[in-house]
Amino acid sequence: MRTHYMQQLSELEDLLGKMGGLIISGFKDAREAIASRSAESIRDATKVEGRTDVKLDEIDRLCSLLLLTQQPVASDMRFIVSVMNIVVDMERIGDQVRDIAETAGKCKSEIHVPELDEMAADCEFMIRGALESFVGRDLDRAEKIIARDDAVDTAFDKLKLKLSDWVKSGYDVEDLLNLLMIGKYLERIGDHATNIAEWTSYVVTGTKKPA
Amino acid sequence: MENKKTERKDKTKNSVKDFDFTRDVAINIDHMDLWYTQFHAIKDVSLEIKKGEITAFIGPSGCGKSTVLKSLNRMNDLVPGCRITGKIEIGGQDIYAPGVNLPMLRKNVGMVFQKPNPFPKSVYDNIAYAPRIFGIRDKKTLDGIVESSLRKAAMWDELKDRLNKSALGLSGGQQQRLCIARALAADPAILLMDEPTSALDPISTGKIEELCDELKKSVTIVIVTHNMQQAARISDKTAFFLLGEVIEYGETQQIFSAPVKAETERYISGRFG
Repeated sequence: MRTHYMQQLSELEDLLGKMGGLIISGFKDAREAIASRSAESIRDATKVEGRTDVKLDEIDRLCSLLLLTQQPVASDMRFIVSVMNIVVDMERIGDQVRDIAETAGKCKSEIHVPELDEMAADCEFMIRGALESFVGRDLDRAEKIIARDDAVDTAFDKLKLKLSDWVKSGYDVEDLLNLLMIGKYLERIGDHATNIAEWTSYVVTGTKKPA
Repeated sequence: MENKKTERKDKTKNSVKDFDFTRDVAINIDHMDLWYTQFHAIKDVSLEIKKGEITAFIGPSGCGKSTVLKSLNRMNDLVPGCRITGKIEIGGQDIYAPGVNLPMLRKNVGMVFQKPNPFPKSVYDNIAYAPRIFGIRDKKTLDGIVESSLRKAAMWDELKDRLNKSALGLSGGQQQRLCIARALAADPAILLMDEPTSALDPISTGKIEELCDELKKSVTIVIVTHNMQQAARISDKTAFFLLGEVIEYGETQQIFSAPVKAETERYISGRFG
């Protein structure tokens, strides 16, 4: 029954999985760029944004086609509406992955800030977990992802204090500003991952938890 | 003659008083079972339909939705071997209790069918048919009923210059709206619609859907439809029937966005049926 429709829904799941894969691997490169500033990781992370944009277009087109031709209802409708929302957050993560890599490439010194590492580790956990909880319709896991955002925000607050101290200690201000920007990108990535996890609730229950 | 007229009118008034349509619940189906001879067609159906709401009955062919609909104005009485148990209350009255005035029941519970079925009479005579049956002979009164019924059905401007033309000369969509106007001429409290737009083009369908939305201010509507989008668009509540049972009944928005039962989800998303 409705074979073509089922195929289109399955295709949408596949596209979402591919876009998610691009973001997860791009973020790993960005993390590497923060840690090592290696040219290879910076180059690879920078490419992610263009690739996610292509997937976003494909997903947008397929969602529009499904709404137009199949009039989805119930869990299909909830899935498609959610996908149309979370791909915007995924695309923004792709942008921020590129921005992190580009900003890391601008740093002249080898200053290392543990708070950035903490934030990056939490963000990787959140991105993967948010996407997997959405695809797996796993509410418990989504809750854990949402809860982790507080840790990212706390680490960002600590980062800001530390960098402002370092300004007084004579570090290169331009580098410190770059590190602050990277921290801000990570903080935003935490927010986007939280948004994705919140849509899991809508897919499963039909109610989106208030942000 | 005058006395007879008055007597008929009084009889109408008394019978109308039997049904109390001021109460919140217009229709209450309580543990209804129905058999066509040996075939158990409706199984323990209970539904409470609120006044002023549009309720959609959905489900695959043969699931019993039209059977329940027809039971609401006792049209199944005409089917040989049909037996009903349980209770159906309309306007607070048990409509299967002995002594129920069937013409009055059907006056209060109008019906519109899948295919337009105007009488082979003029537009005017179609609309005036029920009021005449109920004893109204005064031309001015009948004129008023014809105009107000056609206005309620949003057809007055289209038909005011064609009142004496045959209803059979109207388009399919116009004929169906005329049938709605004809049902409204009896001033029903409830309107039953059995797939009223399945034979109509999208423009006519849209007009009837808009009409339903307008009519629900004064009439409780129960509509059987195979068009899921139509049910989602126009109804307040939806009941999903399967194999003679009501599987799920609730707010339409909830049924179509987050149904509770897996069978409902599978049916409305087209995975079976």
